[in-house]
Amino acid sequence: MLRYILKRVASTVVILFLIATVTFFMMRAIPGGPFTRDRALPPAVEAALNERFNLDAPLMEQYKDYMVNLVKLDLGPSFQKPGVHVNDIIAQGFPVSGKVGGIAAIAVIVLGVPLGIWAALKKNKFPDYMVSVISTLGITIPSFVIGTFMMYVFGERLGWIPAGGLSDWRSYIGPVIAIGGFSLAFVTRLTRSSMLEVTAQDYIRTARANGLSRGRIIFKHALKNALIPVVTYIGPMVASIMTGSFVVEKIFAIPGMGKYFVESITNRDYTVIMGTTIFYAVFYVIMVLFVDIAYAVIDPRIKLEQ
Amino acid sequence: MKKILALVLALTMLAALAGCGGNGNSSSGSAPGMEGNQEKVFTYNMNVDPKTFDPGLNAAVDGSHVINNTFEGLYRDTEDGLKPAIAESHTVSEDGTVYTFTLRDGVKWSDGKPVTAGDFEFAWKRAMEPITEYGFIFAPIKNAGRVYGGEIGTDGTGEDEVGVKALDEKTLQVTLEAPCEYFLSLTAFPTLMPVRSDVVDQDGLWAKDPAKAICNGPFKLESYTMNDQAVLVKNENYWNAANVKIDKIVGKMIVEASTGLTAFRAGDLDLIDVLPREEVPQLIASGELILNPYIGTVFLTYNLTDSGNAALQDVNVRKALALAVDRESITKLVTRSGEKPATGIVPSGAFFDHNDKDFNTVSGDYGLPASGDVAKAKQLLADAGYPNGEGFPKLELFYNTSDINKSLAEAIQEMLKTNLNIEVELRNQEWATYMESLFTQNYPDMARHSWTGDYVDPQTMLEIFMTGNPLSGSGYSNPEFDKQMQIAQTTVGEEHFNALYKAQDILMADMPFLPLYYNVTPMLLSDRVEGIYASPTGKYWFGDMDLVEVTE
Repeated sequence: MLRYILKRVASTVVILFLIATVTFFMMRAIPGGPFTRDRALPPAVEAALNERFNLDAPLMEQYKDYMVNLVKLDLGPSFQKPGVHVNDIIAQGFPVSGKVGGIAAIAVIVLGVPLGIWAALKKNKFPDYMVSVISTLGITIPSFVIGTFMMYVFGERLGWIPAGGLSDWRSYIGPVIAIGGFSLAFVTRLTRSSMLEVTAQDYIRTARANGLSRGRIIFKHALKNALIPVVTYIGPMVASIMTGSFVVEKIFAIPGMGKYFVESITNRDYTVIMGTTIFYAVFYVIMVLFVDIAYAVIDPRIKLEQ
Repeated sequence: MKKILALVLALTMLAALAGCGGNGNSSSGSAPGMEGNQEKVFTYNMNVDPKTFDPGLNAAVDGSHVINNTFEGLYRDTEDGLKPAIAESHTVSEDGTVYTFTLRDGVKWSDGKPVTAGDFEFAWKRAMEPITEYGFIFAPIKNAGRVYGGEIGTDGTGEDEVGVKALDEKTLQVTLEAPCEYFLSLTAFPTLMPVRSDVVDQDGLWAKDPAKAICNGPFKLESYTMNDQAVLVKNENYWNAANVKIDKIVGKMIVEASTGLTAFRAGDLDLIDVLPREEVPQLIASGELILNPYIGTVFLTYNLTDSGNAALQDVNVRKALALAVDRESITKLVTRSGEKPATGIVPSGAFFDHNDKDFNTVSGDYGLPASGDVAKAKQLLADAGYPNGEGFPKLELFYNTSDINKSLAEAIQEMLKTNLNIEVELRNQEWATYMESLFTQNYPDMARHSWTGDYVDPQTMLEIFMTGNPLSGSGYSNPEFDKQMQIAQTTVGEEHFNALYKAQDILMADMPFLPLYYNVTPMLLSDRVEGIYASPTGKYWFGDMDLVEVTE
């Protein structure tokens, strides 16, 4: 077990190195720079700024400097927020996004899995159809539509939720639904189809023939196998929704980190592009590692060492 | 083993989730109004987290709104025009190049120390170093342009001495390169506001830190939360504090325009100025929206360098294109946000000449009616050798990616096709890439461009067309135009404006651009706000503002 984890950590480091390298050179290949303005800066000013941010050095040297700092966990200063470190930007934004995303993730797991099971057990009956309709809506309607709709109906028309910002519990309703809606619907459908597949298998019939109670069959024997694909999806999903969404955070005026993923690229804020990408990558691979460990816990036939 | 592992795993995940919940901020939702002990709180949307609140480093209008109210320069731009502020009075030498300002008695910083002429000298010299984005604004001051160009330092002597000097605690002497019509109005500009040498740092971090943000304006920074809000409170040490009626100003950083509007309708905001485009026509029709003149113009620029399309080098072709575009329809049907059809580069309602007449009105429309003139356009195109557009090359129209720019480009495409039988292809580029293409003429034919002036004098709009100025986007060059502009840059009063009128005549005869519309700044204001002033450069002044009880 420990050996497996160590091995995985080693491969993670290689993956992160590759991600950082590819991102670094790709972002530098796009035209324009952090000091592109709608009133072109005089050459002397641009030269001074480039010198200050080490952008006048040869690209390979900049790459080397960046990677050395990265090893020291120093993500460098932002170009667009002078004097503010990318570490601080993430430290400020992630707790906010993480809180909203975390609540959404819990809601997805706590609601999505039971709903899926329920639909599977009531296959082709009313509850199944109802869950199907709702989850189809959840998958097909984009988050910005859900968000705008919630904001308009419950915020502006009814005044039930505040108009933007995070304050009391009511202010979380909108963003959590907007950010978790798709995943909730997806998990529900995944659980349902996976559950149906498993309950159709021979060993379940055998268990039933042996007279085991219905609850025991579902929770002890069927669910474990049915959850494997669900867990596979949930891991990366947690990383994705906890790092925030540009659109949802914009609609609900949440000071999270979602916007940096998009704005940093528009602004050519090189260090922020790198910082957010690497942060997300680290989060993602950790969640994938969790998923792999969870496999072994759920299904004894999967051996981590292999 | 398995169970323990499962438990550990579950706990870790839970802890990870819960850990993020601990320190979320509990701010926002500050109820505006006069409840409590009659505290007057004004809340507005800043739309973004401004890059900086440091007067010397700021280059954006969102930062200016804050700086214009936390700092104060020698003069102040108000509803009633330019008024002495930190300066009590000034004298100008006979040749118009030396300004001597006398500071008001008893002006203090927010920490109680006196504001001195030396603070201005320090701030100006700091802000003209070639590391700031707005140092070019000091250009009229002797040697400031050379400092910003990186030629000399601010500590030069003799010929290299920078023209700003504190003669004593209360006297500031400014030497200009040449007489300058708009210099006095510049002293009200955020970049020329004083800062304290003992608190500033290179990056301007001090200005967002309430403990360090020492200022001299009617308000001072109480708190700042990244991407959320900034709170300003009344500065009791402001020289005119007795006349400041607002106790607190909350600037929210709501990026999404429709959320801002919802918050405004819910009464959480007193002022918003970025609105969902689709709501604007209705708000204009209902009379709710206030439209202030602004010193910005949107136009198309042509590539007039050797790499450009040969057909567009013909002035008659450019005139034909300009006449074939119906600006009236563009502003009424496409942009729909109260913009005014442009017939030149200098917007109406914002610039006034020595006779106090609107510069735009005096100069007229140069035979370019707002709704165009298709017959004349066809005639001009035929004269240029392309009757009914025959043999005219296909044009490419560049724009930076956005919905409104796309609609605008499509409208122009349609008009040129219908009116002149000219094929136009559209191409868009993402903003930063686009800017580079524009300033280096890396586009074949035409590109969308907009220009916002820096100060309230028509010179700021016309200057970009001088030879070698990349901001025109076209590579346009005409020595006659340059000559008139050079006269305008070194004269004042009638002479100055006559040169500008002449320069504009030359420019419009050459038509190196295709005017589209003049921008306006919209403002949605709650009924309880009185005395707010938005200058044509788009800066708010809250110092004379009051909140009143509204009876329904």
